[in-house]
Amino acid sequence: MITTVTLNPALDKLYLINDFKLHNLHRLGDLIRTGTTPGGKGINVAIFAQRMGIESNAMGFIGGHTGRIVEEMVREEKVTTNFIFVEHETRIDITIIDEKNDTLTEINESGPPVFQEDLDAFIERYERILEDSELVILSGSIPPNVPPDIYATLIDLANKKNIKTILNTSKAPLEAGIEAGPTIVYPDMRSAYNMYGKKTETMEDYSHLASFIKEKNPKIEMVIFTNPVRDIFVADVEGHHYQAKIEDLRIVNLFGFGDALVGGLVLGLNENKSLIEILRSGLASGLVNVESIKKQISDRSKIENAKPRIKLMEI
Amino acid sequence: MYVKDIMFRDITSVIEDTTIKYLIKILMRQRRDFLPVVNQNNEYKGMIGVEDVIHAALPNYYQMLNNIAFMPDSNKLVDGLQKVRDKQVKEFMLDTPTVSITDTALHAANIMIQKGLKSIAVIRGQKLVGVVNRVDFLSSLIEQGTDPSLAGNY
Repeated sequence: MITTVTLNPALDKLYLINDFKLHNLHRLGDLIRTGTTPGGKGINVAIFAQRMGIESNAMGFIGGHTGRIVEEMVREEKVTTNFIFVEHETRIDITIIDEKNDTLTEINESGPPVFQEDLDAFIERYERILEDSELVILSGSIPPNVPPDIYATLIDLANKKNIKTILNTSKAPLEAGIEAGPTIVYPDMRSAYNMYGKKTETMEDYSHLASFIKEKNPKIEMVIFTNPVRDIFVADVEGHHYQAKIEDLRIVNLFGFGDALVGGLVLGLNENKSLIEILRSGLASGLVNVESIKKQISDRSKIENAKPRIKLMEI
Repeated sequence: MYVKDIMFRDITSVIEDTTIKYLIKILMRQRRDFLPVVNQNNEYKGMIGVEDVIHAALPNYYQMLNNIAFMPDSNKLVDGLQKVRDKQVKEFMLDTPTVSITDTALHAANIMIQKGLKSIAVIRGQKLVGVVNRVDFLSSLIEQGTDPSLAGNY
């Protein structure tokens, strides 16, 4: 079984509103123009894995009525829930897409505060579930009050039991987590910032940064950087640098690319593939996701069919 | 229909030395009446629920009589709860039977009825993978258009 950790999940509400205007009332006539889905990077990966036939459980902090809705939707996907309930409401993230004018507006709440008692309960439950986990996925932002070294703590605990981990987050939690030695590091670069004070503009920049991160801890086997809009896909695989070129990449919907990529890594790890093949599996899943309007993939064969389109070259 | 088709896929659980006070907090936040008890390896040890707590909080003679009609006021219950709040669930949990995910739903229903259980832990090997509550069973059956009292014909 794989365990995903989503410390700050959300209820995602999507509204499709043509001619979305500020300072206006928009009445959404029919239900098709809205969508409600469980959100949070770890949750997305759990759903991906479960759809691909890998038993998954989702951990993290959930609260209130919103939390209950998210939990139920996750269970509907046959993912086993294992959340710690906190006092306050799970956050709601709103996305408004105006297809006619090609605008995207997002409003994200910050998430319920997590208190020491909740954190202790989480760590206790996490240590227990490690006994039954083959892989741990740590992705996404951390909620208010949770210390930025939380991922480092969780990676340490997993490493003590020789359980592999994938770390997909940004900023301080990422940098602290890297020190602890996750198996695969996939920095979330969506909120562009200067990681370790280094610029990330060219492919060479990403390549150097990947090496820099890889050397932080001998337990790190692979570091991946992606920027699909700029057609940049690089990885440091046990000291060797690879660049990926994707044939006829047609981006339809960037949402969920990163989570699909992590899902693909899970697929490869679950089948004990080589690191290069694990990377290919990740990129293929990301590719299928980005070329589809849907948030999740259900068809394994699409991923296999996408693999030949990925050319990996050592640089 | 199998247990895996009807089970409640949640593995929230407490450990043997969880306090009654903390147990009630979790039950309240999750709006549940029972939780499985596991050890450090996530292996099933028993079930603990509101009924076990109430029973523990009542003075012995009321437990024996199974009747609180003669209790002068609720203070006895309040006092009783205070006495047990810091005790550990292992003192009051019940080692109830379990089912596995590959058992039939009918088998689970049978155990529920025979042992008067409202919730059964589902295990894979010894590890907890979920629970089956009576409502899960009923909900599945009613969707199937089957009358639960005809379960013997399944």
